Amino acid sequence: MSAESTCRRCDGPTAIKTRQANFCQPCFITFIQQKQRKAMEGCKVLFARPGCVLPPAINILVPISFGQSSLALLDMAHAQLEEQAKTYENAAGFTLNAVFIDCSEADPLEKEPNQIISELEKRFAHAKFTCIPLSKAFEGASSVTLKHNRDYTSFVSGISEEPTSVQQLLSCIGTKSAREDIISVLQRHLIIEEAKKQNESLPTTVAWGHNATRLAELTLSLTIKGRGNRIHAQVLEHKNPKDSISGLPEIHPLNDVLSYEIPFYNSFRNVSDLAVDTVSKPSQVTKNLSIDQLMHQYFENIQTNFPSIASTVVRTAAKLDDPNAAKQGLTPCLICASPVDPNQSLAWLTNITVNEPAAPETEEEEELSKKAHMEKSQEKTGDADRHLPVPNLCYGCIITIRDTDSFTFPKRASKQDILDEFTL
Amino acid sequence: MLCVLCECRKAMLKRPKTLQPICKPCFYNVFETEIHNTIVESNLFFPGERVAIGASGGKDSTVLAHVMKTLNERYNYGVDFVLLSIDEGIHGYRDDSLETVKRNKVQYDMDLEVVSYSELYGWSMDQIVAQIGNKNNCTYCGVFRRQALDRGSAKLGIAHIVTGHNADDMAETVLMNLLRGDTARLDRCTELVTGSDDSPVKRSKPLKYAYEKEIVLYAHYKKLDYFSTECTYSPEAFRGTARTLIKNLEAIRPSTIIDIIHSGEAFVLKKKKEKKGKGSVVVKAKVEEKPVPSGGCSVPLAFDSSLGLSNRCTKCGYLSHNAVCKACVLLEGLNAGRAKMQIEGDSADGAAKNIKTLEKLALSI
Ligand SMILES: [Zn+2]
Ligand SMILES: [Zn+2]
Ligand SMILES: [Zn+2]
Ligand SMILES: [Zn+2]
Ligand SMILES: [Zn+2]
Repeated sequence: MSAESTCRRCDGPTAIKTRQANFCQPCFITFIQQKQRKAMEGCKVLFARPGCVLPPAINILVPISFGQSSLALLDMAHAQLEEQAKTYENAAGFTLNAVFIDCSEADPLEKEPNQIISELEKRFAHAKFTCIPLSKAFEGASSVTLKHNRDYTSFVSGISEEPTSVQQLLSCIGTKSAREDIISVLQRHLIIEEAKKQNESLPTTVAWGHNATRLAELTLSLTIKGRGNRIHAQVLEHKNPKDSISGLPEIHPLNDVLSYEIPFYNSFRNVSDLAVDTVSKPSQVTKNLSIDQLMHQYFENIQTNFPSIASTVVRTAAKLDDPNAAKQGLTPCLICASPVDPNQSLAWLTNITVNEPAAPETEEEEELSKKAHMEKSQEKTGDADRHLPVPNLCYGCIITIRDTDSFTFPKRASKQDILDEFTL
Repeated sequence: MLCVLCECRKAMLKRPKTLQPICKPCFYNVFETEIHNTIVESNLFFPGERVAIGASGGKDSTVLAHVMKTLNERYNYGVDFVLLSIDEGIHGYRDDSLETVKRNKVQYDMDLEVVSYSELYGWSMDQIVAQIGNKNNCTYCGVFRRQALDRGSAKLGIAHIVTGHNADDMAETVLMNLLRGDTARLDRCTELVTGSDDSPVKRSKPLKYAYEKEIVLYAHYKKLDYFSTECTYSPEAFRGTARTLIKNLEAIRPSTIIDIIHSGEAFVLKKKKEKKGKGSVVVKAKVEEKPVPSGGCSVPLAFDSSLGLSNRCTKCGYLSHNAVCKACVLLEGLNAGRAKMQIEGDSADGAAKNIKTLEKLALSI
């Protein structure tokens, strides 16, 4: 065999060509796992004294979607546990919790979540699995209904003690992009809530399964959705809980692994079959894609000609700081809870998206304009909600709910809290 | 269908930014008012200021000139606008577009100054391309044009140039900087006003929130006289993918372009950690963050010899971080090539002659 077709580390048969090198199966698995081990280097088995093992001092929470990437991370963390158990007689350096947010009500999967989880439990015996339905975000929460005006100002049009439901929420969202945006806001919220709960019994680190390509997509998606201020919170690692908005350490062990390397890893480890896709597939028509789907397509295509592009984007994003770090007087966005400067986004938007008409020129135009004014002012006096003030929304959320006519969202706070917050 | 804004005239177009059906007068009103808001929000001009409009004869700069004239009269900015045009020497493209600019001069009743590459550098773009082929020629375009605009304004005694960069250009730049890993410019590329220590002239982009499609519609309905061929020397391939991406995104969500700019404006770079021994890097970063003087001074300091030589190109006297400025570096390469090609010929003085020309220009200011 020529030198070119053998593994550069051990001369074994090449199983994958990547990063301008050949790898055999075992060497590739080691190569990828080393990256994860380094990210989780605080997960080693601890000893009180030689021969005396301490219980795990850290909990690793891996959010899983049943997609290839989070499955690969789960496998790597699990392999680390298996190795620790073998080396130190059933000792463990950490506990492993996989958390699945079940969005099948909004976006059905090809298999039942319970069935998938029981298969995963068999394969990954050292891990614990938790399945949280998306509807949990609505439990015990009152709901708040927002409407928006032509000039993009939103106003609270109703507050109800009754919780809203997933179906109700999704039925009022008109576009795929807005829908996917809201679902990911809720998903993230539930994962962080669960992590905080687990953190009460054991210090918890959230280990996201995003690979480099996915992180690059996320960077661009957030930018495109007007959520550039969130890149620091969602794309960067926060090993120190102090600089993490969630207050918990968040890491990305696969941030140096490219999307096309993941299926190779999974197949070499014989776990590919455990991945499950959603029933609906992205449209063939570009115009009918969501923003996330379009970004996914963009990187899959461009990566073939520019293999280093994802790492470039991730490295660039890592240089961004939290734009709100030095700001004071910020309040959480009603929808996504990210800190916002009240009215700043709206002022920015109305300044550059003017809705003032040109004055009527002819007598006939004057008549029509007067008539329209009369009708409108009658409408207004009949609408008591008008007196409710403008809710605190970040730019990204303003853009998202603009894709809806009226939008009912779970509000954690009680009706009284909302009245206190919004009544002048 | 009635216009949703005035409700008294027939809707004639669907506004690209919002998809609202509106009438022509309302379209002009919102388009112009948004540009006015951008100007007022940042105190872009001061009364009595002389401002050059970078005029290429294309739609962006023609609409810019028209709107600047309109707003200047409507809101009494008291600004004295001058058209400044660069003749790159691209046959067929620039010949025709320069004719357009000359007509604009009359239409808008503004002075016009034309600065040519041949006169400044001894090379026209056509000659440069003949020499280096079709690769990288936008690098030359960019560096030369930037200096040419500065030199043109210096000649006119003007310290502020407005350019026709539109919202699509801004959004494209934000995405390009992320994709290329261009961190140096990441947090500043969306700024309305840019100025740096290697340019003596303040540059601003009053159309930064104006959609390209709306600029086309505005020029069309207002029957503006512009030249509609793109630069014949095509940009880098990579930029093409960003451009296509933005067009696709715009079809999915019309507000995407300003949404990207909003994100770009929220980009803040982490502070560089001050390490010992790397002092020079930190100092450089500080110099670049120096705020742009807002108005007041009206004479560019570009070629003022009293500034000392530390920050200037040793060849042409232009402001520069390095001993030799970017344009002179590119010129040296070009001239070396020309000297080689004409080795037996008479113009071994090519390089020297060009630098002489630059020196002369610098001194004559
Ligand atoms: Zn090997
Ligand atoms: Zn929000
Ligand atoms: Zn109208
Ligand atoms: Zn060019
Ligand atoms: Zn020079």
